[in-house]
Amino acid sequence: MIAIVDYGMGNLASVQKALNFLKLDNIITNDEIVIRNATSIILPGVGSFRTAMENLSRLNLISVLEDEVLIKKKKFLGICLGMQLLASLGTEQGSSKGLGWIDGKVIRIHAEGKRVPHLGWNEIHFKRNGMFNNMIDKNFYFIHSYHFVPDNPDNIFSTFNYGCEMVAGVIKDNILAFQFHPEKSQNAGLFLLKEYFNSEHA
Amino acid sequence: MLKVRVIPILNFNGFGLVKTKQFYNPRMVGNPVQAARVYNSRGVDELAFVDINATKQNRKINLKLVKDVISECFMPVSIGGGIQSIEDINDLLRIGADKVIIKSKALTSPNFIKESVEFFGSQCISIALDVIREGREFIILNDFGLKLNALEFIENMQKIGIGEFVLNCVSSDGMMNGFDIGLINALESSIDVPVIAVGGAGLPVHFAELFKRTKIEAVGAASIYHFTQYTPLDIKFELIKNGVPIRMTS
Amino acid sequence: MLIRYCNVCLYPETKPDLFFNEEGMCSACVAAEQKDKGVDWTQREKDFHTIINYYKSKNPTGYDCIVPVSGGKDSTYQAYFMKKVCGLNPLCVCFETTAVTELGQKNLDNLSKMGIDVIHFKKNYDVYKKMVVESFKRVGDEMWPNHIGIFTVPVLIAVKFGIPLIIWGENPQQEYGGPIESVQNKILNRKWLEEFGGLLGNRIQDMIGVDGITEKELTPYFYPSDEEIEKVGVTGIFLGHYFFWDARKQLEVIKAYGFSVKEDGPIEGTYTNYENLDEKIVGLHDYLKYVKYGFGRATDHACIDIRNKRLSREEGKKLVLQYDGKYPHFAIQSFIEYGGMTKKEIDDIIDSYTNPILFSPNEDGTFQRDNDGNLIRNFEIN
Repeated sequence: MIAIVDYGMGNLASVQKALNFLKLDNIITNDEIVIRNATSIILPGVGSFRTAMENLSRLNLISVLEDEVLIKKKKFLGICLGMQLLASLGTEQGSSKGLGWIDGKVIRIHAEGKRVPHLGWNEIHFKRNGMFNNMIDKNFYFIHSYHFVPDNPDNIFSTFNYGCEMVAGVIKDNILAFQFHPEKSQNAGLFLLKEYFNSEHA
Repeated sequence: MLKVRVIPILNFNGFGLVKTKQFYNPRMVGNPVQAARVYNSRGVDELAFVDINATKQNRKINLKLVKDVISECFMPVSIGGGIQSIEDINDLLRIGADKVIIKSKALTSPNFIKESVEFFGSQCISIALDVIREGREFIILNDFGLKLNALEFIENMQKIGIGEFVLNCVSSDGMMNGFDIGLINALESSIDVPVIAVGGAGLPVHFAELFKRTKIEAVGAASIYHFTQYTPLDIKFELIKNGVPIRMTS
Repeated sequence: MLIRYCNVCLYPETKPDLFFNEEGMCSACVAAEQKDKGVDWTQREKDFHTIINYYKSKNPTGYDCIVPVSGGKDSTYQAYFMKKVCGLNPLCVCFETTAVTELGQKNLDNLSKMGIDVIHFKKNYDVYKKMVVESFKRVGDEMWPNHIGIFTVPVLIAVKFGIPLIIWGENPQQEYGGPIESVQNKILNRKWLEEFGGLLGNRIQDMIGVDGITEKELTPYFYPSDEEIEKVGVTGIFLGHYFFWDARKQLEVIKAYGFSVKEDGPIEGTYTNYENLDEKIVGLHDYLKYVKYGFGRATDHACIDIRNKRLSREEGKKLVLQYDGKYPHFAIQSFIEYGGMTKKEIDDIIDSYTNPILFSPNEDGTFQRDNDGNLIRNFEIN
């Protein structure tokens, strides 16, 4: 059972739709007991970093997630804002503390001559071998104005190019997170979700 | 690198899909669920669904119908029509919309746009502009009798921090004679956020021309798909031939 | 729910391609009025004979024209007209329908008995069936591949056999309403097919890969190229542009030449017994139209009878209320046998196309129905 964490930010319906299509059992929830009983956890998210952290805190989800993900090492997928929140620090509307699971900062995109937000389909490049080796279509849908800069390059799983190279995915043990939206990336995204949740990784 | 987006536009009038010519004379063309299915089967980059009568008729967009359309789509969907409040936007995002398209409310209440951006983040907020020429000026067509200079309006919206513009070239709408390159270039140079140019597509070569002669990275079209033999894939083949970076699905 | 209806006939504003003028008259009625008063039929007839004499003179032996036929009343009349009235040597081309009825087969066989050569194109059963099922799911019209077939195969034959003239029947935009420019169309070409052929946004190239269908297997469904068409000089004209189209009158004429109608009552979804006799599942196609737009085949027929002054608007309304939009049990049963889907799968798809503004949905996504399984309208025919 995959728990899709509902903390009032963004597009849960689409994530659920993709998982349903792939026949992966899932539930949208912010209930501590349900999350603790889940085998995997997805943290989606669209919107403001600051509001997201406030909501997670208000709903008492932070310690639950830390327990289940950092200590019990459950399989974790972060999407878009759900990836950015893993950072130590966000800089939207002033500085705010993130979950700090992967050291790094989230800063605004400044790409010479490029439009912001980074909006549309872009190709990703994997920095690590292993998972997703047989992925052919590597175009995914991005929609964001901020990007994650991890302190440790070993945490970088994949990158994209938009004026310069930026992080498309981060990894740390059982934690995997992407800047793009696999649930909105049609066949490529469905392939990724299927591979990840059906694999023995983490 | 970022690929250009080829986006079918579905205009809805309250019952079914319609298509206008120069924003007049809506012609009923079909059922939204079937259109969504066809486009999803084609693997289009994105879909935009707009209820063009919601504001005029003082009602909200039908959420069940929108949900039905979104449920057919595994690609991003933008929804517009009758958006007047934070609750309206929230309703749409919760049922799966990725972006909302706001037009009328942006003209009458820029503060609302500011509020929306703060609440939901800039990337979900797209602003639609219907632009026409008046003499040497570009103004925004509207039902409120407001005299609005397009460039000034664009600047204000950008200051507020919106995510994207949908630029409708009114005089090319439904005419299938090619895009209004002059108008697009005149406005695009002042825009820093993504822009979807809409209005005038009739042949695949029109799209190639658009990307060659402007700095636009996303294009919307409707008539060409309703009334001619060309599908979004034909457009993409034409773009590839012309070296435009575009995503091809298997 | 208030829908606007034409003041003269019973077409609703929800009908695709329909427009209303300032007097509240729909484009079909406007076209009908023009048919009555605004058209010089004598001149049109002269034009028609000029055209066919031109093509006849180019080709002293061989076929003079192609008449696309289905075995139905309209195309049988077209074949009769070209052979018996104009004295030409037509070649009839029939794109086999999905699931032919006994009556349909009889009427089809009757064509050659009228003294005419008929090419009966029997299509690849598997590929066609895959398209039928896919288009039912994708665009809510199981007759979709049939629309492509009936408009493309005759043109293909015209190109291959070198017969430039194709005689089609009524101009649907003239008889059923369309954009003003299209009402006076006399030519049926590729552009017409894409815009008015009922393709619902789907195109033949979209079918490549569906259930393993290859491009080669779709050969008869791809429209000939512009070059091929130009080389032969293929021209398709609407008979209905040159002669006042009156289906009922035409029916009486062809009955004398062996055309049979349904003797045991009307076909599903309407009150008439002389149309769409050839296809078992046409009731499903008509029903899908009803759930999408709120009007069905009975409305089409009533409107034509109103325009031809055979019915008053009130009488037409009574017939529509009685026959329109009834659940098509026979067609559904035939479709289950043909396509292999279950009744529930079929009903679920029909529900997905049912307009939730015209018909009231329940909480679970189904719709309110009466005891016979017919939908309950959320609007009034006014």
